[in-house]
Order: sequence, then C-alpha cells, then structure tokens
Amino acid sequence: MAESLERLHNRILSDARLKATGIVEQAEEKSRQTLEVSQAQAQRDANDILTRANLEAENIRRSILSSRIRANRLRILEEKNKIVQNVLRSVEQRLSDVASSDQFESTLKNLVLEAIEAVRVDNVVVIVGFRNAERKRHQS
Amino acid sequence: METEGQAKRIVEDAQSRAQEILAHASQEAQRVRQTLTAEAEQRKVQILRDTREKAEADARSSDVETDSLLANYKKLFEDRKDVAAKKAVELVLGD
Repeated sequence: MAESLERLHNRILSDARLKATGIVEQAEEKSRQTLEVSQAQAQRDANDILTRANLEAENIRRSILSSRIRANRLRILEEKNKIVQNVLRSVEQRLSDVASSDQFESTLKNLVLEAIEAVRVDNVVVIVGFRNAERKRHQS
Repeated sequence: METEGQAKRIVEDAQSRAQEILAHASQEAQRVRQTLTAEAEQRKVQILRDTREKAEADARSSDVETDSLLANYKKLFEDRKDVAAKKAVELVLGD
C-alpha cells in the first residue's frame, strides 16, 4: 500500500515536472520567435531609414551643386556680355570717329553703293542729308 | 494533498519562469530594435554630413574653375579687344 502510494506520488511529481518542462520550452521557443521577428522588423526599419537617408542626401547634393553651377554659369554669361558690350562701345566710338575723318566721303559712298547693290535697281538717285551740313550730290 | 501541492508549485514555478522568459525576450527585442534604429539614425546623420561636405567641396571647385575661366576671359579680352573692335569696324565699313 505504501509502495503504491509512493509510486503515485512519484508519478504526480513526474507529470508535473514534465508539464513544467513543456511550459518552459514553449516559452523559450516563443521567445526565440519573438526575437527573430523583432530583429527582422528592426532590420527592415533600419534599412528604410538608410534608404531614405540616401535619397535625402542625393537631393541635398543636387540642390547644392545645381544652384552653385547655375550661379557660375550666370557669372560667365555676365562676363561675356560685359566683353561684348565693351567691344560694341569701342566699335561705336570708332564708327563715330569716321564721321569726322577724311575717310568719311569714301566710306559713305561705299556704304551707299553697297545698299544700292543690295536693292538691285537701276537709275538710283541718292540724297544724303545731315543736320547742319551742306547738301552734296555724289555720282556713282 | 502535499504531493498535489508540490506538483502545483512545480507547474506554477514553470509558469512564472515562462513569464520571465517572455518578458526578457520582449525587453531584448526592444533593445535590439532601439540599437538598430539608433545605429541607422547615426549612419543617416553621417551620410547627410558627408554628402553635404562633398557637395560643398565640389561646389567650391566649380567656383574656383569659374574664377579661373573668368580670369582667362578677361585676359584674352584685354589682349584682343582692339583687334576685335577693329575687325568689327572693318566689317561694318566693308574695308
């Protein structure tokens, strides 16, 4: 009788230990899965952060470079424009100087002839007038 | 009764241990998430800082290149402006 009770006692405790082991093992398995899932999700989140960072970096790079390149192109255009304007002023001055030189008549005649040739008409009479100047006739 | 009580304690201890394991796993998951996120944020700051510095350096190179180009234009213009004006006048006058 005592032996039977002892076996029953041991059986009850053995079952309890088995159940306890199962409970702990289940918890450990669930713990492992939780960690795996959580780590995978955290890694995806970290990758998203880095992907967005790279896109943002590219936008910053483009913004800095494009504005500076645009500004430098403008500086070059302004300098070229200054050069052209400078040459034009110099040319205007030189052309203006022709009017008071002894080249004036021959130059005027050449210009008029060139104009007549461009118009392509015969028997042309050209009257050139200047303020405060005598009227002159030039036969071609 | 004593045996049943002992068995019940064994199971309760196991349940308690299981709860600890799960709680620890939850804390560890949180720690891993925070670590990875913090590392990624740090890396992001570094990427943005490096990119900005590199772009600024490239922009400064562009400035230097443009300065050099402008200096060349000015020198060329100074050297050749009289010739250019003379040729333009010749073109106009047909000389």
